Amino acid sequence: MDMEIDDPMHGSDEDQLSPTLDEDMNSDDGKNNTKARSNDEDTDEELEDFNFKPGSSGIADHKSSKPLKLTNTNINQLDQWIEHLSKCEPLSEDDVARLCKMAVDVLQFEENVKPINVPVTICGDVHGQFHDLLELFKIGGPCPDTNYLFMGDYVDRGYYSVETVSYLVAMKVRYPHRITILRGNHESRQITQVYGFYDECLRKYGSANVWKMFTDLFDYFPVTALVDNKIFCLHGGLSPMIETIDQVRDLNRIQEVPHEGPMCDLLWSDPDDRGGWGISPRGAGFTFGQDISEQFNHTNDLSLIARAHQLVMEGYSWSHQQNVVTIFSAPNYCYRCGNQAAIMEVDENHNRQFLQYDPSVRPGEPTVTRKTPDYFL
Amino acid sequence: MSLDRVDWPHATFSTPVKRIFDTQTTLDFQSSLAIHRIKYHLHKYTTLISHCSDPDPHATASSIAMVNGLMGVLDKLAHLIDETPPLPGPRRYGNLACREWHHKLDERLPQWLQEMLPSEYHEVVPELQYYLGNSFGSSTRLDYGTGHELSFMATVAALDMLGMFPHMRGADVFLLFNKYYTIMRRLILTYTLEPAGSHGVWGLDDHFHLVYILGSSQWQLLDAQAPLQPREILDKSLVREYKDTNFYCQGINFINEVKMGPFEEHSPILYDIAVTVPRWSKVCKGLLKMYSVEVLKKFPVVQHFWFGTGFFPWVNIQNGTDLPVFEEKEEESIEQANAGSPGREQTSTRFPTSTSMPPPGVPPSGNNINYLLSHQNQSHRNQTSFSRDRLRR
Repeated sequence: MDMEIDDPMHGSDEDQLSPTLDEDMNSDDGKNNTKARSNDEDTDEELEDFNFKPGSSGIADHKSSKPLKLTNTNINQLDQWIEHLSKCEPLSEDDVARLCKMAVDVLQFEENVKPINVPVTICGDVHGQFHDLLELFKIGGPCPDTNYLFMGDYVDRGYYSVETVSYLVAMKVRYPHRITILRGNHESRQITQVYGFYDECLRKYGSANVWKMFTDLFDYFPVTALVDNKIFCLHGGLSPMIETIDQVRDLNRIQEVPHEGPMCDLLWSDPDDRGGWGISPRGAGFTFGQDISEQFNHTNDLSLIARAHQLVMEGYSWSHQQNVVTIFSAPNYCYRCGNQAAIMEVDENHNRQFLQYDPSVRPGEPTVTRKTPDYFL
Repeated sequence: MSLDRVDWPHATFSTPVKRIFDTQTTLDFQSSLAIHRIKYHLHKYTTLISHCSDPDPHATASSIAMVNGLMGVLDKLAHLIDETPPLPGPRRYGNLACREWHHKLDERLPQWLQEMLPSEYHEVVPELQYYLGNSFGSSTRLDYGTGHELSFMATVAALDMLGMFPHMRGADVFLLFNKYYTIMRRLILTYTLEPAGSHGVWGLDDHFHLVYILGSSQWQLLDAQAPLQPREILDKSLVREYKDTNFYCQGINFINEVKMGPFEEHSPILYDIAVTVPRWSKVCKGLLKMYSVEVLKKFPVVQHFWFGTGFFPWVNIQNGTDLPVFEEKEEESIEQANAGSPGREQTSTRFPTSTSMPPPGVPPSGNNINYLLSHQNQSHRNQTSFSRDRLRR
C-alpha cells in the first residue's frame, strides 16, 4: 500500500470530552426512565453519586506501605490468571478485586515520571482489541523477555476492554520491572461511561463493580515515562503549564483525570502544524507547535517525545521534524479504519525500529454470549 | 400548546440557542415542549411507515409538494459533495474538505429554504435552517452521530407542524429519510466522518438509531409474513436484497460494507437483538425505548440540540412557562456574532474549574498571545459556568 506520510494537520478528533457527571449513569437511567422526579429520586441520585465516587470499590482500602512482594502463591495465582486471560476469558469479579488490590500496591509506588532503561518496546492505543494485543506480543516478542511500555488507552471502543486491561494489569503485577502501563485519557470514570467500557462491564459482569474497581485503579497509573533520560513518553502531549520534567514529578496524579490543567493536558494534547499553543478541538488539552516541542526537548535535554492518542494510518507518524512521534497500536481501529498498527523498538544504542502489523487473523468462531438487551425484555 | 401544530400565524421564530449545558438541563429537557414534540413525531413517523412495508425503491416524487421541495434541497446538498472532492492525503477520520462542504451548506441553505417555502413562511427560515444545517454532522469535529440524525427528524417535524405535509403517508416518510440516509452515508464515506460520542461496539450503531426504528416498523405489522425475520439480518446476501426497501436492512448493509471482523464482535447489540428478539414489533418497541434513554436522555448527544421559539421552544410542557435559562445565553450570542455563523454548533462548554495561566517563561509569540487570550476567554466562560452552579444551588 502506497501511503503518504501522515500530516498532523489532518489529525482526527478521536475523542471529544463531553462533561458527564458521575451521577449520569447509563444503566440506572434505563431503570429510572419511567419514574417521575421526586424526593425519592433525589435520594436515589445521592446514593448513586456516593457509589460512583472515586474509591468506592474498596480496592485501595488497606493499601500496603511497601511495594508488593511476589510470593510463590502470588506468582502461581498471577500465572493462572494470565493463562486464563490468554484465552480471552474474563476473570471472575472476585479475581478482578484481588488483582486490582495487588496492582494498587505496585502502582502506588511508581513515580509520575517512570524511569525506564533500554532496550524497550513502546506501544500506543489498544482500545479493547485483545486479539490484536496478542498479535503485538507475537510481533514484539513475549514479555518478560522483551521490555514493554504502553502509553495508555487500553479500554473503550473495542469488544474486549475487560480482557485487555485485565491482561495488561496482570502482566504488570507479575513482571513489574519489565512492563510499564501509563494512563491514557480513556483511563477515566467520565470517559469510560460514554465510550463503552462501562457498558461492557455491565454486560459481562451484570453490575458496575468491576468498572468501579478498574476506574479506581486507573488513578494509580503513572502518567509519563522517561527512557534513559532521553525519550519522554506519555499518552497525549505537552502542557503550557509544564516546561520541565520536574514539574511533572510534582503533580498530584492520584485522582480522576481533571477537565483542565497540566495533568489533563498530558493525557489530551496533540501536536499541530501550527506553531505555539492552540485550543484543542477535543475540548480538553491543547494543540502545540514545533516551536513548543523543540523548546521542551531542548530544556529537558531530550531526543524525542513519544506519544499515542491519535489514529495514524501506518501505525506511526513523525511530526515536528522528528521531535515527536505518534504510535498507534490498534489495527483497523473501530473495525473500520483500515489502519496498520505499530510499535517502536528502542535498542541498547537508542536505535529505533518500527514494527507494523495488521489485525490478527482469528481461528474459528469467537465465543460471544447471547443476551437479550434490557430494552427488549 | 399543541404537539402536532405550531400556532400559526401567532408563533414567533428565532435563531436557536444552546440551553442544555449539563445533567440538570438535560433533565429539564425531559419536561420540555420540545422533547414532547420530538417524541410525538417520532411515534407518528414510526406508525406511518409501518404501513410502508414494500416501498417503490425507484420512486422519486411524492404527491405532497413540500416532500418534493425538501427532497430537492437534499439533492442540492448531494451535488455539493460532487463540488467538494475530498482532499488528497492519508485516509483517516475527518477529511478537511468536509469543512468546506459545511461552509457552502451554511452559505446557501437560507436561500434554498426561502425558495422551498411559500413567501408567507419565510420568517421561519432562521429557525428551520438550524435544524437542517445540523443534520449532517459536526464541521468542527468532523463526526456524525445520533444527535445529527435527530436534527433531521426535527427538521421534518418542523415542516410537519407548519402543516406542510397534509395527509402524509408512510411512503412520504420513506422518501424523505431514504434520501437523507443516502446522502449521509455518502458524506460518511467521502469525508471519513468519525462516530460521534461512540460507545464503540457497545452502542447500537456507530452513527444511526432512527434508521433501525423505522426499518423494524416497516415490517412489524406483517410479523410472521415479513420477508425477513429479525434473525435473518445476519445473512449478508438477504440484507443486500432488501436494503433498498427496508431501512433496517439498509443500516445493517452499511455496517457490513464499512466494518470488518465478526458481526457479533463489532455489533453485539444488533447481534443480540437478531438472535434473541423474535418479532419485529418487539424489536421496534425496544428500539424506541432505547432511543428515549440512550439518545434523548444522554447529555453528550442532546447538548447539541438547540432551541428556538417556534418549533422546539425551551418551555415547560405542563404550564408553558420558560424552563431555566443560564447566563451562557448572552455569551453564546456574542460568540455567534463573532463567529459570523449564527446558529452553528458550538464545541461543548468545559466543565467549570478555574484555570491558572501558564507560568512565565513560555516563549512569547503572536500565536501564543492570540491563543492564550482565547483561552482566557474560555476561562471567563468557565467562571460564568461556576456562577451558574452556585445560582442553581
